[in-house]
Amino acid sequence: MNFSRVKPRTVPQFLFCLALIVLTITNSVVLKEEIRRIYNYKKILDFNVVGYQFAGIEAFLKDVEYMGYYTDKDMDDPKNAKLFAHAQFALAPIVLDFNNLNHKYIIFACSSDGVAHLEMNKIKAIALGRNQFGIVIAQRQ
Amino acid sequence: MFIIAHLISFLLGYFSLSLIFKETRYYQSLLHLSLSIITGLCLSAYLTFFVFLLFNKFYAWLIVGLNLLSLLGVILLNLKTNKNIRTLLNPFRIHKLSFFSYSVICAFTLLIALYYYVASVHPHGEWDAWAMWNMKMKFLLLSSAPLDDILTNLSWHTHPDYPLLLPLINVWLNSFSHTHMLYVPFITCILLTVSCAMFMYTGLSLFIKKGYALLATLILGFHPYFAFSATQQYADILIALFVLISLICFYLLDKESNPAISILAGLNLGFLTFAKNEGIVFAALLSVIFLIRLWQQRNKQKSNLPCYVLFLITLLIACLPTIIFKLFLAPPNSDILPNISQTGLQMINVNRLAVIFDYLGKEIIHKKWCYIWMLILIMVITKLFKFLKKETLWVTLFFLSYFIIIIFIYLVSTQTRLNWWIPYSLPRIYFYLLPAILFHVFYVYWPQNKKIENT
Repeated sequence: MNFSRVKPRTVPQFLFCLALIVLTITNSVVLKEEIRRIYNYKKILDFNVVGYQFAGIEAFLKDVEYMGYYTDKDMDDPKNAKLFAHAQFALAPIVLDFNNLNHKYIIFACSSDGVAHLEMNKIKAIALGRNQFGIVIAQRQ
Repeated sequence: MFIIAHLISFLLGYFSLSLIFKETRYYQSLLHLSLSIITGLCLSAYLTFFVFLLFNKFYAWLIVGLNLLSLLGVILLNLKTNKNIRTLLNPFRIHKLSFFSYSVICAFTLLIALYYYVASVHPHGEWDAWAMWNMKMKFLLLSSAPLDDILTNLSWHTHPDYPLLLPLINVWLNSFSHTHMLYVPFITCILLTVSCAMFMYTGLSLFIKKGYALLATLILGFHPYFAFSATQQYADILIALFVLISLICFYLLDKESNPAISILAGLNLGFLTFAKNEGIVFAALLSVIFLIRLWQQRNKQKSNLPCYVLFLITLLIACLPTIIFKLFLAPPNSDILPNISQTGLQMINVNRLAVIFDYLGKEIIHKKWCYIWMLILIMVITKLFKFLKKETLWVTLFFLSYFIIIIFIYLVSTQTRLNWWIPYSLPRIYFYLLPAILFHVFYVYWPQNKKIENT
C-alpha cells in the first residue's frame, strides 16, 4: 500500500491545515469533558419521558376531543410553558384549551391544591383524580 | 415494520430520479443513491398530504396503496424508457473498492453510531419537537379531524402556519405500524443527519479532490453541536439538507446546462418550501439565482425546452402542496407579518442594529460552535477574491441576502421579543446554514477537478 505524501502547497492551504490542527486539538479536550458530563447525566436519568406528569390521565378521557387546561402559574416562566406543551403532547389528539373552564373535563396544574379546589368550587366541578405531581383532573357537573 | 416504508420511499425516489437522469452520466453516481431516499420520502409525504386533503383523516391502507401504485407507475415508466433493466440497477453493483473507499465507509459507520448516541441523549427531541412537529404527527395519526385541529384548534404556540413536510414524512413511516410512533421521528432525524453528511461528501467530490471532500464531511459530521442540533427532531435539518442539495445543483448547472439537473433543482426547491416558512424565503432567493444563471446559459442548451422553463415548471408542480397549504388552509403568520404592519419602519435604528450585530458576532465565537465559524472566516479571508468571482459570486450574494433578510426581521420585531428571540433563533439559523456555507467555502477554497467526477 503506497501513500502519496500530501503537503499544503500554498500559504492559504498551510494556514488552513494549521488552523484545523489547532482547532481539532482544542475541541478534542473540550469534547472529552462534554462526553463525560453526558455519561454521568445519563447514569442518573436515562432519558426524560415527555409528559410523564400527565401519565394515566388518558384513562379518564375516552372519546374526549377537547378539554380545559387551567393554571394560575406565570406562563412567561419557560418551566410552566413547557408543562403545558408537555401536557398537549402527552394527551394528543385531545386539544387542550388553555385557561378555559367551559369544558366538561379540565386539568388543573396549579401552584397549590387550594387554588385548584377554589376554582373547581366556582365552576362546580369534582376531582376525578390527582397524581403525585399535583395534577388534578376534574369533571364539571 | 416502518423499515418497509423506508424501502418503498427509497425505491420510489430511485426510480423517479432514474426517469429524470436517464440521459446523464450522473445516472450511476453515488449522488443518485443519496438523493433517492430523500426524494422518495418527500414524494411519499406529498402523497400522504393529498390523502389528508381529500379525507381529513389518516387512512393507512390508502396512503400505502397510493405509494405502492406510484412505485409501480414509475417502475413501468422506467422499463418503457430504459429497455435494459441492467442499466437501471447499475448503481447497486458492487465495484472494487479502494482503500480510500473503505475509509469513507468507516467514517460513515462511525457517524451513524455517533448520531445514534447523540440522538439517544434526547430521544424525544427538544422543545419544538414535542411542542410542534411530533405533536402534529400525533394529531395527524390519531385525530378524527387532524387538519382542523392542527390549523385552527391548537394554541398559537404550535405555529399552525408552518408547513407539514416533517410530520407528514413521519406519518407515512408510521403507516405500517403505530406501535413505534415515537421511535419513527427518532430514526428519521438520524437518517436526515447522515444524509446531510452524505451529500456533503458526494456533492463536494464531484468538484474537488475526494480527500478534501471527506475532510469537509468529517469537519461537519463530527461537529458536536451540529450532531446535537440535527438530532433535535426539528425541521431545520430538512432546510439544511435542501439548501445543500440546491447548491450542488447550482454548481452542476454552472458547469454545464443540463435539463435533468434543472428538474432536480426545481423539485428540491419545491420540497424546501414545504419544510418550513424559512424554506419559502430560501426557495425564493435560490430561484432567482438559478433563473439568472440558466437564462445566461440559454444559448448553450441542447434540450427541446430551455432549462429555465423546465426548472420553473418543476418548481411550480413541486410547490403545489405549499401553495394549497398556504393559500387555502393555514392561518396567516403571526410572528413576522404583524410586526411589520404594526411597527412599520419605526424600529429600524442604529442602536437596534448594533444589538443585532453584537448577537451575530457573539454567536460566531460561542464555544458550542468549536470555532468552526472562525475556520470558515479564515478560509474566506485568505481567498476573498475567489468568493467574488463570476461563478461563485451568486452563491456568496445568496448568503449575504439571506443574512440581510434575517437582520431586517430582527429589526422590526418588538424589543422584548428581540432579547429573547435572537438568542433562541440565531443558533438554529447558523445550524441550518452551516452545511451549505461549508460546502461553498470548500468548493471555492480548494483546486477544482478538471471535469466533474463520477463518484
